[in-house]
Amino acid sequence: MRTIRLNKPSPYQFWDDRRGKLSSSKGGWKAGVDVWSHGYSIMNELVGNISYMQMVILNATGRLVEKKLADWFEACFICLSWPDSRIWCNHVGALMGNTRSSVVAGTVAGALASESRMYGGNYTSLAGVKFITDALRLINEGLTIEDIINRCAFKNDRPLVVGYVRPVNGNDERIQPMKKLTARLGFHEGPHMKLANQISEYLYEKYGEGMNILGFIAAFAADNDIAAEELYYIRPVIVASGVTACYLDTLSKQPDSYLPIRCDDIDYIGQNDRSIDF
Amino acid sequence: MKFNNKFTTKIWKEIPSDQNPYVPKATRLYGYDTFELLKKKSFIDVIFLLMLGDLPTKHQTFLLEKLMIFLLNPGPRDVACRAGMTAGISKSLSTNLLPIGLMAAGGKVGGGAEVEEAMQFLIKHHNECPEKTSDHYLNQVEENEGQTRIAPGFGKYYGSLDILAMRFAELLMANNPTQDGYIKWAHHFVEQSSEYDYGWLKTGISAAVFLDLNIRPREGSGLYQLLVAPGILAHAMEQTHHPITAMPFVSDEDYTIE
Repeated sequence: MRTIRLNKPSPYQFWDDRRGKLSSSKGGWKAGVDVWSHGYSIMNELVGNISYMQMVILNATGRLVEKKLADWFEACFICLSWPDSRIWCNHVGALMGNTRSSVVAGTVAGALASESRMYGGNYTSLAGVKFITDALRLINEGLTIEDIINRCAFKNDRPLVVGYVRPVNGNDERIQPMKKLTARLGFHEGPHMKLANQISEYLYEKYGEGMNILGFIAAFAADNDIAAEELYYIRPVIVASGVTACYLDTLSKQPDSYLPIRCDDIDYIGQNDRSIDF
Repeated sequence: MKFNNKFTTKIWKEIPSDQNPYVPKATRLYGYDTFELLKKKSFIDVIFLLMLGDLPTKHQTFLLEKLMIFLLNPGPRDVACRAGMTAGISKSLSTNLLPIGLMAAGGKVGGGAEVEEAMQFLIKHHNECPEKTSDHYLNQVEENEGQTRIAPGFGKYYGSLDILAMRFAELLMANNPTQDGYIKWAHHFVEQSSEYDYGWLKTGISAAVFLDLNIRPREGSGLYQLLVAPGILAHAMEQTHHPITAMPFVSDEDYTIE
């Protein structure tokens, strides 16, 4: 067994050293004096000088980014904050307004629902950035887009490519406004975004499905030195505002009036009726 | 994508009353009338039915019941209880406390996510020789400060063997008629590694029990959260009756900004 021998008097010294004490590399509060985040005085340097989204990114990554990058992310938050309760995370919020749970419970429950392997763009952002960075590396090694797509898993003869399909509709209306904003803020199209556009065109021609907002954000992040994990940390509650709206929609209506379900609206496909015989 | 018009389930049937299609006059769980279950079966039997689709054998009831008692109260040092207690003492809404604790009980270290990974680990290796597998993982481990695992569900607890998890596993082994089950395989895996203080953890023994009950890994993660829920609830609610000063608050002197 390979072990790093540690000079410690007991197996629990590590925990004894930490009892009743805290140390943080992120920041902290000195009561009545100030609060710090990653070396910045929040009260003397940040309040009034940076945007809320710059603060979100600072807390998530430790980096105080330019305002234009924070503005770009703020637009992403807007793109994922829809007041339409058919979307799964919003649906959870609506159900909680329907049953008169609290607005906080409804909103965070919706945010939890969006931590999905399929949509929502927070958990999936990890896979999205990995896909486009791997794809660019493979292209540079001489592979074609077709080769890369063929390496992906397929379901019903269609490739499962994170960031390039949508559960409901193949045309993502968020891409064009985000492209316009990206140009207006002065960001140039980097190699990941160029490749993402080419992959999108290939998939659209062959399968009728192009890039979705996750693919767009992942390519932008990769071009702007934002790691997959950082992207995940920036956006855990990216859908929250839309969930709140859906919660409030049902809160304003009669309890238990949201999409009522009759007993026979459930399709039971289980065991036949049976009795307990032991 | 094409979406279904209806929900589909193998678990639950509701028979509508003659007067109102929204009001059921009877319900059936995997085919059994709920009122017949209510009269003839225990809570453990019915929760087994709910999770697995059939009523349990005596040994299955024994295994699930023992695990439920073992996990019932993680205690106030446990992170999930502490999360609930912290929200309780600071007077969050009472309905928030259990969900807060349950989220903390879902972690990859000591929580539901670790149970799921431990189940996948056991499924992957249980056809191999447990001693050889143990040797392989022991050779790979780099002992570090903090909580150390040799595999999900197996490792050191605060630098030592988890005595209670080991005792619980021994109790199950003494009452285990299954010759080739996951508990038995992991028992041999641990026999070797425990010489180096890497033993059963609560998540590991939960994973082995779930697998011997034919519960699948994804279901196992959530069932673990469910089984620790009573203790989270009790400890969190207890704190709501105390003033906010009744739990420690680290002083400025003991808080270091690195």
